[in-house]
Amino acid sequence: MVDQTITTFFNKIYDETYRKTLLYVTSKCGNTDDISDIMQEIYIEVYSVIVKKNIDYVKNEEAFVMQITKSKLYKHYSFGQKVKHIIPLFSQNDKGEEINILDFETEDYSVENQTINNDLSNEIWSVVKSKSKEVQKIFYLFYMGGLTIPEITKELSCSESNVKNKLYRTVKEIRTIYKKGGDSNE
Amino acid sequence: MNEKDLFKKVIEENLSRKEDIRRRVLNAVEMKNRKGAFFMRKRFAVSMIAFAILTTVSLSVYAAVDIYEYNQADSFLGEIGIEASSLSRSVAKKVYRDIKSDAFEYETTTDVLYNKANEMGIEDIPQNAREIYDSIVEYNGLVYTGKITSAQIKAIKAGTSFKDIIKVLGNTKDIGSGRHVLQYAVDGDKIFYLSFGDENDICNQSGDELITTLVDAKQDSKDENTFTATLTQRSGNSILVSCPTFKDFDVISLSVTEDTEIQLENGEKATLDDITGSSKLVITITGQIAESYPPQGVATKIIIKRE
Repeated sequence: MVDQTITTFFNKIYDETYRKTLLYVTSKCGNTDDISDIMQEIYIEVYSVIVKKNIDYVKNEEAFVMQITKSKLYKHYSFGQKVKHIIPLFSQNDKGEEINILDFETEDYSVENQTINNDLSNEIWSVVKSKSKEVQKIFYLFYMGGLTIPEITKELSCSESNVKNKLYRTVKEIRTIYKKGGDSNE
Repeated sequence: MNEKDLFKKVIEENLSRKEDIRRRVLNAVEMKNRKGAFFMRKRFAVSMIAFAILTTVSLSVYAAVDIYEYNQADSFLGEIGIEASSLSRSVAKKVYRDIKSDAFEYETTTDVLYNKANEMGIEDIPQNAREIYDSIVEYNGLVYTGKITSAQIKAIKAGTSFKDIIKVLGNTKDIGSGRHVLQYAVDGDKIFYLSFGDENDICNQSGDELITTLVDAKQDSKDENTFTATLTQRSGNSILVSCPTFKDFDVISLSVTEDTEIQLENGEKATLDDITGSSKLVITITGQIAESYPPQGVATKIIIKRE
């Protein structure tokens, strides 16, 4: 039986570091499908170390979790897998279309009138999952992580235009669902 | 709900599932911890089993060593007429070790040896355990006839000291007087006499030469109470005979009574006076033997074979 003090301490670390860890894993993972598993592995290790070495062992919680995160990511992907996945996130064949960032960054595209049900959620998720891993990463970092375009650009080492293009096209496609949904509701 | 919040909600529902991951982590570590406790119990159980096996093996080894040592003690003490079974197992082993190591420090050794010397009728028994033991050994040439094989004799090389020959053949009865005459039973049916003045003397004969000196002493007993022997000493109606190749004893003191049938080889009736030192005797005894040294019995029939 794990000591309640340790469990409480772990929950505190989990809440404080979860978002940052998730963003890091999202940006560094080879496959976005692995994110959930990697996150679980990281925090199992975090919890196990605390149980084994006690609370005093953790001097800097954020650094402690990040160290384990990097280690887990490294172990999760074998060298071959890394090579396979470490390809440029963005090919250079993008048209370089001028995308107005406001189109999706600041637009208050309200969906309050739409029925936010499981079907809608599943449809949106289906569109996102149908995209390449690179697009998914951008989408997750932008909407879930709250990173700005420049931050994503820096995180994924790619150009701003590429990030904008990927985001714009994905959002545009998702919006057709609302329209469809909106039409059907009307 | 704006679009951004909607997308975030969708992603979190499908991707991150923060609380699901938290729950799984807590459960996983809890299970691991329980398994750890289980493995600790398992390790403890394995340790206990290993300890039990080790203990059993140790006890088995100890028992084997104990049996071996007791048998050694039984054999050794038996040679000086002391029955190990008359002592407790531990005392028998302690006495054996005390005498064998030439320490003579164990008080009980003195008591055991003294009682034996007294039982044998040794006069003026010494007080010192070592001296008592020497007296017992010397008394009546107490050492039993050693049993060897002809191959052991053949292996002796000319020029070997008698001391070294004895080391190879082992201790045996010295029937000599003034000069050592060691007596060995060879292959169960012959006797080898090794004669010398001093142990450090050199034996100039080779094994092949010594083997030619063996004396035939085959026991063609019809029953377990009949054996072939030679006269060693006569005292009134009692005779002391030597029978080195007999399985039960190598010498015995026999009472000859009115009922004892004495005859020559051809069936003619004879008397004790007809028995000489060179006579080969076929003796039948009652079977009841006094456990003394030499053993004592009653002869029922004596056949005198002239040599």
